[in-house]
Amino acid sequence: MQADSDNPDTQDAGAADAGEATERRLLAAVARGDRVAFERLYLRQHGVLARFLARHTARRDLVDDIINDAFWVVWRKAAEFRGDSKVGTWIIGIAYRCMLKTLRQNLPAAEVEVDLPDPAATETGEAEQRELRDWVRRGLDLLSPEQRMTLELAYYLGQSCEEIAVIMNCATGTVKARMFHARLRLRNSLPALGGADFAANPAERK
Amino acid sequence: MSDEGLSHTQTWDLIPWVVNGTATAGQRARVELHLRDCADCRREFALQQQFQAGLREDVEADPDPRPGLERLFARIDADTVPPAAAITHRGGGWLPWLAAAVVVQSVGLALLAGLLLGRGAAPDDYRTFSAAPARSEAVIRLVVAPDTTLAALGELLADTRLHIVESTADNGAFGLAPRDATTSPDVAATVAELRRRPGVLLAEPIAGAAGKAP
Repeated sequence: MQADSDNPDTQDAGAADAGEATERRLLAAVARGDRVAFERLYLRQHGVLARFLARHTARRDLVDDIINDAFWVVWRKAAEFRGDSKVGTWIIGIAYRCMLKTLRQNLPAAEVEVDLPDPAATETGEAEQRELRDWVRRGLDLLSPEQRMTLELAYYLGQSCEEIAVIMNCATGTVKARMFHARLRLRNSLPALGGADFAANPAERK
Repeated sequence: MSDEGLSHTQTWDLIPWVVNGTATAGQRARVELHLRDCADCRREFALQQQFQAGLREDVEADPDPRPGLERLFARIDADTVPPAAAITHRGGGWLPWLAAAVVVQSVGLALLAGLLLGRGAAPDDYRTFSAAPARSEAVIRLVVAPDTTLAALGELLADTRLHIVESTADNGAFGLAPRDATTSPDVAATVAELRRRPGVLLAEPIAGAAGKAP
């Protein structure tokens, strides 16, 4: 029997719990107007938010604006955090709503595209990774905005079904349905990449 | 079949959450059990793992967060610190500071009396922000946390060689000036030092005040 302290899963969970406890303490301090805590929370969340938002707009200025709009809300509403989700989930939800608002105001739909550099493949592994990235990009383009967001929240930010429901302000059943249809659409639209022999609706199979 | 009743469809539904690590241990175990005997679901599992890997590959380097944070602090300052003349009349964004001020008031009154008497200040050496707008010698505005003790505030002022020369009517915010009035203080450095100290909710230069600009 492996001791908990030797179990990587347990260690990961322990680290995640400690991180969440830290963020709750920071947010409570922010609610009291503590700038140092606010700065620490901002720095903890900035990287993941910036990378996530950069998937939806190539404009770095808008990414910065969205993050600051979100943390402006965090600064003013910290006392309203009820603790029924992770702090990170709560902040991502705020950033998600700020993103929708900002992109609606600033960008025509055609510009809401990830425009990442296409580095030259210098190694076989890099070529394979580029192929994988291209496949993912083409696949995401096939999805509705809600389906795409659901997939990205799950696979990029590692959010659970329940957390995505909080972020997108919908029922968990809606999250499951969006995920289901997103995967089905990817599979049916990309047979060469997704497996041509598995294009049928799996829910219809026994 | 030994998948303990987990149907093919249930497995399909759970796969993304197993892939992204948010499924429960029980859900993961049951999915893994099902995958042993189901080639279709194994392919789907592998496909979703690939998709996740591709998403995570598509990453740019982190930008420097500091410039954005500085802009945000400036925005917060602009919203929460009104001009001195309006400091006791402002609603909205100033409310959190007023709430803190109510709590700190009793401490502040005792503190002010102690500090002023302790250094033998003349009566016209101190005024409230809402008093007549004579030219102030205050160079820094300070708000401390409600639970700040008298000793801690006294130590803070001693360390930064400042003293209180003015206050809001409710003692929620203080105007600070250098103890040695003959020198020109490095306001930016002093503000930075104050902001590093625990219990300081707000420290900022007072516009137009004497001293080196930040």
